[in-house]
Parts: sequence; structure tokens; C-alpha cells
Amino acid sequence: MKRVLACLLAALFVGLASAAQARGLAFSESMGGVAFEDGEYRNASVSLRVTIADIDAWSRNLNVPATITGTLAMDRLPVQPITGTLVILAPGPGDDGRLLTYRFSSASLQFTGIKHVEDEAGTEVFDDMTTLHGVFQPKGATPPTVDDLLYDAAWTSELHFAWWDAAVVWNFVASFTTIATPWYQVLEVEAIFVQTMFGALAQTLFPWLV
Amino acid sequence: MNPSDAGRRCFVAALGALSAAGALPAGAKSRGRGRAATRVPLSSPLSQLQPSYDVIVVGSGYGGAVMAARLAPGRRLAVLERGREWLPADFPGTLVDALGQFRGPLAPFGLFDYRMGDAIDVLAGSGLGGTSLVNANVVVPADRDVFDTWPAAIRQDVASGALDAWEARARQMLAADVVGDAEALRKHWLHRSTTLARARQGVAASFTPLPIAVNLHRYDQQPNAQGVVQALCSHCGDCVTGCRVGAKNTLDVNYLPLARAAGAELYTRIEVDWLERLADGRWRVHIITRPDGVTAVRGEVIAGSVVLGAGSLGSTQILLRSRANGLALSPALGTRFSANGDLLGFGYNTSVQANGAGFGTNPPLPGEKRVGPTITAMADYRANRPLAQRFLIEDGAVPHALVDAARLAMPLASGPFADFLANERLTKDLLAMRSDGALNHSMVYLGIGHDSAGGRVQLDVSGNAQVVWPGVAQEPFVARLRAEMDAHARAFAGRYVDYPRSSPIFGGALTTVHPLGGCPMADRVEDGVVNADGQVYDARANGSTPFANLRVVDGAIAPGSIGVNPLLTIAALAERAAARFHA
Repeated sequence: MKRVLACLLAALFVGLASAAQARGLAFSESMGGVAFEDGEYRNASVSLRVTIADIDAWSRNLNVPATITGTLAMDRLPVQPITGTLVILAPGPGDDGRLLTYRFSSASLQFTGIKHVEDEAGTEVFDDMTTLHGVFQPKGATPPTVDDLLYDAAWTSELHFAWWDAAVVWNFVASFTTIATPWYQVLEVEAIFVQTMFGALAQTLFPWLV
Repeated sequence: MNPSDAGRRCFVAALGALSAAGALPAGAKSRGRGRAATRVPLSSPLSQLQPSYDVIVVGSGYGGAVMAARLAPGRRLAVLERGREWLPADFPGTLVDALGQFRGPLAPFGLFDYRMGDAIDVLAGSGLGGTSLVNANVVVPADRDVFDTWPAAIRQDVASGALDAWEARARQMLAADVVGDAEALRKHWLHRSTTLARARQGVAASFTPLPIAVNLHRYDQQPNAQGVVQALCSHCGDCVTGCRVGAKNTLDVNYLPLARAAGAELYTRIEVDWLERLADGRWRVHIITRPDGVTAVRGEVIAGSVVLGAGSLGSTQILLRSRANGLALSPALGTRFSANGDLLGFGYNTSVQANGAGFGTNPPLPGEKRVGPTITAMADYRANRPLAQRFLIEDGAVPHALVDAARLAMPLASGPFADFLANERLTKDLLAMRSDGALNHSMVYLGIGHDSAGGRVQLDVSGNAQVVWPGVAQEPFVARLRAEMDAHARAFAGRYVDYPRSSPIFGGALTTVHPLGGCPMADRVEDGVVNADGQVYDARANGSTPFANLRVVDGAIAPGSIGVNPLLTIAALAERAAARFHA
């Protein structure tokens, strides 16, 4: 009997441990705005599914990238599937705020862009968290560096998450799902995500508090 | 006019002129960008002015400077310029500085000559180099059929290709260059995008980068072809309030140094009042100097030959005053004034951050970096249209001195938007100057078309030239340009907003930055003031005989609108007139 119990406990431990390693979170984000591509500004939008495959690893190191899948729509171009990565709220160069760094590509185009969250007054944090500045290029071109985007105004395209639109916000909130997470850890995973996000933001926006 | 009226008119004039200047229409890594070039002054002290000269050139703009450079060798020649000499660091960099540079009784050497009219205002530059100091330096030839109504000799030169050669000569001196994609100027890109959008909608429009007389790539704190040290363009967007880094190829870095090297004497702060013909055929040039900067002191200089290059209003004013003092001139004097079909407007608060707010010699705002030369390109609506219906729309920029005023005033002119982001940008502008506000998401447009040249220049009670042109706002070019600017603005969710002076609140007048006519050229004295060489007709002589030694060589001699930025045409006509100078 003791052996059976030991085996069950061992199995439970292994199961929990493996589940803990793999548990993750996914959410959807849509943005619209203006892209500069092939010498012209064009109205553009992206629909992204962001997957944080290992939320524990990400919460320990914000430079661990999430993966992106989705679609890119641009005036006068067919809708294109895209894949890529998103680094969420890693510290900016020289500890200059926090960055959300998007890198994705389609069959013919690639995009590199950042949202820059910095310590400013008022409601700027909403703008910072929802305004993506970046560059669309032919696939294979040398992408701009984060420093180029941040300090040399090298960005040419601007996409916005419509935080003022209730339907967009609802769709965003409702899109959160956990991955490989037992039911009894769903809240914990979501809490880790929220805690990590707001912890990083607090370090930038309220450094005197944390 | 009571003093308070005068004050109000001055203030409105100042605001209007600065706005107009904004339509007159990058942090690089090389050593010269953003650093002002050092210069050696060209002008001589007033005490060196001689009693007589072989040739006196009045004014130092695109007519006067060319004539001075070409006529100076072998002649005792003096250039008399009403304004002062400007070194790069002296140009105004703030609103207060700029407001202090409007010519008037208290600022006779001001940089901006802004003349208000009931229906149309005129903005020109004042200083050694004339309007080249405050224009956008666009070097583009006129359509050849523009000259179909000009004198026979000009038509002949057009047909033979001789005019092309004169233009090539001027173009080489002005060292025009073109902005490319490497400059990464967003307003240039936005203008291209909206123009191509119009073309896709079936409108016959094409996008063309414009040659501009700006040192974009050549001289990096090095001497140019005339030995004047120039800095590279810093892309600050302040061309029209004077280039504070010395990158513009203004006339004081090309033609005027050439004139001085050939022996010409250049005098500033001397205003020519009127001309008197002497019995021996020479001219007594009545001048006004202001040794203390304000008080007028009258004087005179004798000239064997006089070339008027004081601009459309300046040259016409001198001849109108001369006629009032007895000089017999054509009845056409003062007629054929053209605004060159100019219309200023804004494509306000678009969804594209166009970076059109100049930063001058200040550090650019975060996220801005490059604004660019004021004008870089045109939407060209000339193909397959009758001459009268052709037009261009050029991009512009708001000079730094005007940025704060514009960001606060434009939301009032535009009203609220339906879109959240657009209103957020308006709010940002009202709270502070930043790169992501509505003003920096806007385009400044300078439209150029063709008008009827129905304006008249006349002297007001003070003896100063003013333009009278009732009904100019109803000319077809106005509605045509407004409609197309509106279409450009709407292409990226912006709104067309009239230039403020055109609003009824500010008097509803148009503004031209390309005044033409007043001394139109023609084959007969009944029709024009000068002949094809710029020689002024003597109305007392039999037939159309000109004074051999009195010329007008500037925009005043254009008998109608030119339909493009006129500096190349004026400079080429001056090259032609100089080559045919035999007095």
C-alpha cells in the first residue's frame, strides 16, 4: 500500500512539475493605423495571437519572447499570415522605461517595432501601451535596432490598439486563455501575468513605490 | 487709420505673413549638419558710396543679383539694397524675433515685407539677397506655352531653345539639388502617398521631387563655387524664416559674391525713392538712408544706367513715384499684377505623423528628428490640361517661430474631429508642443496655378505700393486648389483648413508669396511698361521706343502668372537681359 501511495505521489509531483513548466497564457491583440511600405503610406491593421508558452520563465525574465501568429492587412495588398515574437515589457536600453518589442514577418514583409512605456504624467501610459511604432521592410532587409526606433525616430509606421473602443477592449480581455494549465492553476497563471505586467509598469511609473 | 487700427493691422499682418512663410514652404551624422557656417560680409559701408556710377542696380533679388554679377566686369557698378545684410546666425529663431522683423516705420530693415490689401496680401523678403532669404528656393522651369502671350522676342527664344540655355546658366549658379528617399522626410512621403492616391482615383496627377537651391549634400563647412563657406542642410524646416545654418543657396552665396569679386559695390539700408531723368540722359537716383536706423535722410546718386530689380511691388512703386514726379511712362504701369495663382492651405491632423513642424537650431523633439527643406516636391496637375487650369500643390513646413502659435490656433480653425485619436492629438497640441500632436500630423500646402493677372498696383496715401484686386478670391484657381487640397487631406483622415488670413475672421484675403507684374513686358508701349529686354518704354517718344538705360529686371515684368515658383524664370530673364545689355 505504501508503495502504491508513493508511486501516486511521485506521479502527482512529476505531473505537477511538468504542468508547471509548461503552463502558459495566450491572448489576442488587434491594432490599426498607418504603415509605410513600398514608398507609400497605407492604412494597415494586424490581428495577433500572442502566446506566452512558459509564463513562469517569462515572469522571471521579461526578455523571454512570446510567439506571435496572425494576419496583416494593408491597403492594396492581400491579407498575409504572419509569425514572429513579442518581448513584453523588458527594460529599455539604459533602463529607459519598458519596451514591448514586436518582430514578425509574412512571406514578403517583415516588421520591427516597439511600444515604449516611460515615466510620464497623466494618461500617457495608455498611449504608450497601445501605440506601436515600427518599420515594415521587404523580408531579409536589415531591420532597425531598438535604439534606431527609440532615439533616431527611424520608425515609419504607427499602429494603435483602440483602447477607447469598448468592443475592442472587450475582445482583448475575453481573448485570454491559459495553455497547459490545470484548472486549479488558471487563476494563478492569470495572476502571474497581471502581477508581472503591473510590477514592471510600477517599476517604471512609480519607482518610488516599489 | 487710427493707431489702434494700425496696431491691429500690423499684428494681423505679422501673423498672416508668418503663416504664409510657413507655406513657402534629420539628424545626420556628418560634421557640418546643424552647425552654422561662418561668413564674411559682402556689403560696403555707406560712407564709401560714390556720387555717380556707370550702373546702379536697385535691389538684390533674383533679377538684381544676376544683373549685378553679369554687368559688374568693366563697369563701376553699385547695388543698392533697402534691407540689411543677413548672416546665418542673425535670422530670427523665435516668434518674438520674427514679429520684430516685419518691415515698417519702426523696422525699416526688417526681413519680411508684408503688404496687406483688402483682397490680397503680398509677402516678399527684404535684405541682401531679396526674397531668396525667405523663400523655399524651388528651381523649376515654367511651361513653355506660358510664354505664348509674352513679347515676340521671348517667344522666339523659347522656340529656339535660347531660354533653356539661360535657365541652365541660372540653374548652375543656384546649384539646385533634389531631396531623395535617403533623407527620410515624412512630409515628402505623405505628399507622395496622397498624390498617388489621387492618381489611383483617376485624377491626372503625378508626384515629382523638386530641385531646390539648398545645400543638401555638396559642401560640409566648405567653400562653394564662389568661395562662400556653406553648411549642410540640417533638415530643420525653417527655410522661410532664414536659414540659420547657412545651407540655403541664397543669392548672397552665389550671384552676389560673384558681383563683388568682379568689382561691384554692394550697399545695404539704402531705399530708392524715385528716378529723375537728367538732360544728358543719365539718371538721378533719389535715395533714402537711415544712418541712425530710423530717421530718413534723403540723398541722390547719379547713374549712367539704372536697373530696377526691387521686386514686383518695389520696382513698380519706384516707377509710380517717378511718374508722379514727371517721368512719362506707359499707361500699363501698375497693371497685370498676378498672384501666380498662389493659395496657402493645410491638410490638418491626418493620421500620419508628417513631421512638418520646424525646429530651427533647437534640438528636434523626440520622435521628430527630420522635418526637411520647406518645399521638397509637388503634386503636378499640369498634364493634359489647358494652361489656365493647370496647377501644382507643393508640400511645406511650419517654421519654428510659428509652431507654438499654429498648434494653439489651428484647433480653433479646424473644430473637433469625430475620431478619438484625432481629438487626442488636438488635446496634446493644446497642452504642449510635442511631436505626436495634431500640428505634426499635418501638411502645409502651397498651391500654385494661373490667375487672370487682374490686380493693379497703385500708391496709397503714403506713397507706398498696394495691390487692389476685388474678386481675386472668386478666380477659378482658388476653388480648384481648395478642392484638391481637401482631397489630399482626406486621404489620411485629415481636414482641409484654409490659411488663417483667408478666414473671414481675419479679413478673408488671399496671400501671395509670388507677386508678379506691375511693369508687364509687351511689344507696344500701350500694352506694357517694358520691352522684352526689360527696357522701360518712354511714353513721350514716338512709337514704342524705350529708354536705352533704364530697365526693370525682376518679377514685375512678367505679364501674367508663371504657374510655377518663378525664381528660375526671373533669373533666366535676367541672364538674358544682361547678355543684351549695351548701355
